[in-house]
Amino acid sequence: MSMNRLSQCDPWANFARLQQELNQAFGLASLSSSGPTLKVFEDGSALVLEAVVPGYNLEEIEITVHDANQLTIKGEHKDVKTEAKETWHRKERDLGKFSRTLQFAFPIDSEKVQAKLENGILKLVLPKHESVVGRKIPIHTQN
Amino acid sequence: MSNEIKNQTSHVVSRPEPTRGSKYLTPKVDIRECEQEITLFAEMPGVSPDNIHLHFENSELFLMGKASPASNPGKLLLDETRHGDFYRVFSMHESLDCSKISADYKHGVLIVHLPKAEAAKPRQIKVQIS
Repeated sequence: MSMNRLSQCDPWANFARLQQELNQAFGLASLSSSGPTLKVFEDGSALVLEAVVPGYNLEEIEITVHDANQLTIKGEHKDVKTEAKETWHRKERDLGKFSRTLQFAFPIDSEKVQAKLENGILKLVLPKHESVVGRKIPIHTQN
Repeated sequence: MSNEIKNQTSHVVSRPEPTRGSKYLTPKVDIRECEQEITLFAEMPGVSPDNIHLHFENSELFLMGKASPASNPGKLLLDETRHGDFYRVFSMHESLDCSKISADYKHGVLIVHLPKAEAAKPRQIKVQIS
């Protein structure tokens, strides 16, 4: 349920998105960078998170799990090349730094987190810690 | 929008309408001009390279990206994303060398290189002093 709290805690997020869309419609640069948009699923014993991070490579993204149930995704564009005598006619993309932290209702097994970056989408599989899922204990039979 | 309602040949009268009910998204772009070329960076995250279509005709550059089906690996807890195909058209006023247009797709960003035609490149002209 903490994810629902998360989505409600920032009532201005929709306004920020609307502002971005208006800026884009009128050809203005985005004024603020609020970080990547996210999609989170719960799939049995794991959470699956997809972050939209076009233009970032894996070296520019940092993923940290802290306090067992908090996840931070940070990004910073490093390979910004500039040309001599360049003119920018449009600047709509959010380039630069971002940082987003999510808090989950249960601890994450940070050792088993998997990350994959494909076509600008960062996909994380965050297994729940065994203290939540429960641990299957093998039974050895003696015949 | 002037770039949606086209054009003298009237084969394109408005933005194509999707038949499968999904929305069209407008990719965010950066457009840079330098001496040699115009470079366009368009964000099309989640689109596989095979589903990107780039078309240049009558000084118009069409960008299209067909989105992969939305993933749904469980119970949805949070969704800030928007899913749909990408579409945008640009009217290019500059003289471009159409035969040398090239494009790369990297980390969800389509990079289109539009080299200027020789005649449009800046040229230093020496003034002869007699």
